[in-house]
Amino acid sequence: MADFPKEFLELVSDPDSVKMVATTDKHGAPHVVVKGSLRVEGQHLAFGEVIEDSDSGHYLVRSIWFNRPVAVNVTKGDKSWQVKGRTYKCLIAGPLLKDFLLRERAKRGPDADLNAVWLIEPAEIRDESLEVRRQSLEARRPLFGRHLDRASIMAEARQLAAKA
Amino acid sequence: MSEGDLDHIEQLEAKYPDVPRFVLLKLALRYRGVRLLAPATLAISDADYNYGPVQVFRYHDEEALKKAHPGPLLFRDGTTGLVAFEDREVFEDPYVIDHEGGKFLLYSDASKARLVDEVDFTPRPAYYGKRTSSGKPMESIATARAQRMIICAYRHCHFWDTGEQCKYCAFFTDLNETRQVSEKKFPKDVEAEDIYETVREILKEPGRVSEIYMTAGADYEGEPAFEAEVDRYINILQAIGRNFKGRFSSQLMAPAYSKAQYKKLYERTGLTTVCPNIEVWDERLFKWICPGKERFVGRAKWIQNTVDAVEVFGKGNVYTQVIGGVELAKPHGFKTEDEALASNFEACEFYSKHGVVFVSVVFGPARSSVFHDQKRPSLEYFVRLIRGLRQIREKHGLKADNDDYKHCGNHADADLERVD
Amino acid sequence: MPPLSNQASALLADPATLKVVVAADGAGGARAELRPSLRLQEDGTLAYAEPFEASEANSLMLALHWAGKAAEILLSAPDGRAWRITAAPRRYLYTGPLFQSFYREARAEQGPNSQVGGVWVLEALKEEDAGYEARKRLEDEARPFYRYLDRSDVTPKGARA
Repeated sequence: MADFPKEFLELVSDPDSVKMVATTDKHGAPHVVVKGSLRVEGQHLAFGEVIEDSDSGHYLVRSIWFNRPVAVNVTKGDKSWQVKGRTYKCLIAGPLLKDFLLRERAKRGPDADLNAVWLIEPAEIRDESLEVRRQSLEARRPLFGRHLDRASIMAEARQLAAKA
Repeated sequence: MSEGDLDHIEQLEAKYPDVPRFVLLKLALRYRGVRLLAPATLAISDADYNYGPVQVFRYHDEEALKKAHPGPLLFRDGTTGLVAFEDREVFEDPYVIDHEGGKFLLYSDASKARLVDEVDFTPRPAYYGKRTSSGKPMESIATARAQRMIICAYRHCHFWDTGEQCKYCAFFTDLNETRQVSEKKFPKDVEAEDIYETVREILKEPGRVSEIYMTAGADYEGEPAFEAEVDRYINILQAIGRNFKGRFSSQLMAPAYSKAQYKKLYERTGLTTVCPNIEVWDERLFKWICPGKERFVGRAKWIQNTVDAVEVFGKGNVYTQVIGGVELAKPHGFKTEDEALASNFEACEFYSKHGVVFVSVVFGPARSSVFHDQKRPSLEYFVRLIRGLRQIREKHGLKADNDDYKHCGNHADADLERVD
Repeated sequence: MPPLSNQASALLADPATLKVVVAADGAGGARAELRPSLRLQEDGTLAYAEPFEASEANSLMLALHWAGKAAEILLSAPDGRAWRITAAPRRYLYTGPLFQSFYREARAEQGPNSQVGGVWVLEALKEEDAGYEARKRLEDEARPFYRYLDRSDVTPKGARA
């Protein structure tokens, strides 16, 4: 199980960061939901599933039943982290469910509902911020796909020309 | 490899890839039983877990009342497992649950040779330990599952008075003798006001309940038969209804009343679904296994009344169940599993066509039942049964919401619907 | 498919809307990316800029395109409105006026060293209201037994009023 890096923890706990959970249906078609409630719970990521009969609810059940991966993305501006993991648990009673339900009611009123709380066990956590990805990709394939009118390339070209 | 052990589970997983391991385990635990090891029993004594042995269907003596007892088992995927412990049935080689590192761990057997998975138990509800204004412990009024509260309105079944009880039944016994406990020890009547207060208390815990479930022992007094019972249920449902704005998610498991009786129930209370259990479909076997139901209603009328109830409560709001496996009971039951399955699928097809939700449970030969020495069919029988029932219901656009993993936990065929 | 609904169009036009594109990874998983550049074209197609040619996200979208399969788009507004669109990738452009348009936009927003690997053009196949209120209403009507009984408005309808 992967440990959570400090930068990831900061981004997750930022209320303005966007948290998304991606799953697939039985045919492999993808599905994504925004999960504002997503947070770190010990070694897991936890979020509330509001609607019992939702596509995401069904697909999460499929993922825990048939061992399919789940992906979480947390993004704010250029900062972004991807978590690949597996569904670890579905809570339908207990203190954590109650906590998520009360928060949901605080946000949406006393008629709000919450079907379950899902826990994700991360297997891989990657910094996919724009700059990190750019540097990683360009380090792997420095000549690939880089438009020559980019400021960084133009500067290099001028230096090369100066040496020649 | 033996029935329901881990090797067998793995074999069934490979053979039936659409049935998840959790559901197979749920069946296997019901089949082979579970024993709690000492650390698990100690952990269950904790206030968060200890339900205690008090239940609405069963008498417990002084000794039993001192023991810790968990609520329903929860698998990691949320599936509820109503496991049987050894006080209820005899198990040769049960699964065991230990407690290590702050977690409940399920092992394949007493040797703990193979870890099966981490499990949990339904947390004790907040209303447990409280008393009504008349001094009754609230957990004796309502038993909690993950999302359902079970209320027993009358703690005696009069079919037992003449030895005509359903042969698999152990309700209101002390689990040791094949007779119901005397009224002195286990009073029959439950006061409507106690029930009202208990439900009111339950609702104070946010998100704890999404269904009220009621049943009782059979009381056929009155004209027509069961009229006294119907009036009792109306009185109690009206008391419960004082807690709600209107109709509320609820199920009544009771005999197959007449359409007029169902109309009365529907019009005068907030009840939403009814469940007159057929128990076993075959005509010959119904008479043998459920003699009281046969005498006071009769199989044909039972079925007709169930179908008529759909006109009152609506499609998908009338349920019926079979005790899966009891149709193979010796000496009169089906000789082969294929014949038994065919009978159950015929029943499911019939009921589904008429808008009735047909579900199954796993037969458990309780010590204090007439059928205490009967054997269950193979575990694969139950796997084939639940797959077939789910497919038939799906074909007819029916779902077992009232009896699903959150509310009942006793119907593995309903569990499979979570991905539909 | 007919043109996208007014609700979807309005969400796409609103810069405050979160625009998420998710593609399956072929191994049972999926990958979601925020795509702030996603927009509705005049011809009714959808388009967004993929910054990195060699990214996993780009490979996945290409795999969907080759297999004739669809991605999913989620539009989520701060006021709770949400819309889901199933859309099939139809073209990948790395030259031409549309590509240039996205390229200049990236330069304006991210500076002179910004990168756009290509532009994906998708065709919307299906759309639905994914907002909380719509979904809650549907579930309360279709599956009344899932409602917690301590909800402030508990009056499940069952099949009869």
